[in-house]
Amino acid sequence: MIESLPFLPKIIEIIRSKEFLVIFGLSVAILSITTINSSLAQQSNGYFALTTLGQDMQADDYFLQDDHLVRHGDKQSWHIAVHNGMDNAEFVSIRVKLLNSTQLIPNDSLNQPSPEPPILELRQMLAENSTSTISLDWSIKQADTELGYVTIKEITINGQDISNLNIRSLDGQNFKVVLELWRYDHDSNSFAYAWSSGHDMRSVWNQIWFNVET
Amino acid sequence: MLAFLHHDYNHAFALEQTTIDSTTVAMNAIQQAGSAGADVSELVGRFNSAIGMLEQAESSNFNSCGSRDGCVQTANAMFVSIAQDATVLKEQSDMEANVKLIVSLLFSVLAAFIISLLGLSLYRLAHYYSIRKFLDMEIREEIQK
Repeated sequence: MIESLPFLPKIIEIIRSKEFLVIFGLSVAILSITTINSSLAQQSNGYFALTTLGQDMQADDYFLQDDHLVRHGDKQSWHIAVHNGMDNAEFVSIRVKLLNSTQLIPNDSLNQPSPEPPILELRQMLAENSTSTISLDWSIKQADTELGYVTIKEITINGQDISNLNIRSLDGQNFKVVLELWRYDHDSNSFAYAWSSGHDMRSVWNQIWFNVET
Repeated sequence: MLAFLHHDYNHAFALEQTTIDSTTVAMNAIQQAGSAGADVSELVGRFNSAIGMLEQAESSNFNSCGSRDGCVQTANAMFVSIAQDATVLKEQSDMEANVKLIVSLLFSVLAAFIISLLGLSLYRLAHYYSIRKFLDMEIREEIQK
């Protein structure tokens, strides 16, 4: 049997040599370290993306009327698309705020949310690298005009009436819907507006302006 | 009446606290399963259904459950079930990852063996031919003399 394999004694001689043991040992060490490193989860700089789309699922046609005009009872059908580009499933909260032109919007440089309270909160868990689309159907249920000011008093969002708003603006101009994305923070056991990504803090929000005619 | 209201308030508070705890436990379990490499999309769907029930309880807009307490209790039961399933999924993923790592390490050893053997054999073969070439050159020189 061995005679039929003329190279076998040579191979055995190589395997028994000190050089082989050294090279084999080094190769095992290098390949094992590479295998273990690649099997460990790697932290990357994750992100969230928040997009507000109109009724045709495009960044257009947000309103029934032209010039961003909303009339009493007009139903706006929007879609909020949230993409989770983080390394794991994430629990997020979309906070919907209704503001006039003088109220503060989120501050990007300080990563601070708008100080105004949300009128609606939509909570959702997103699997890793997935996108979820949430419908946001809203209309103005009650808006009054007084001394040139239009005051939005009640709106309906996703079939839910939200009253006691009292957001007012001169001539009904420049109202805005602000959508903020908050992420559940395990350290504080609550939702946080900003999160760390690498060495930076990040936050994401959208706003859409509209005018009201009563 | 006051005692009833007090009891009702305590009951609501206890229910709310239980819900917060069970939501956190379920969420943590899903994230741990996700970190272990498990496909958690089905669990995420169930988690969102339970969150939907809590939203129905908060807005008193009942679609899939009859009352506030009913919605909260169903959501709690769902969170407990999600946490249990996520734990099982995490254990399975951990085990699969361990098996994968062991198989990868065995392949590493085999690959190292083959690389070392081939490398050393080629080196010795090259060395043998270079010596033979050198010796052949010397013999030719001898013949020329």
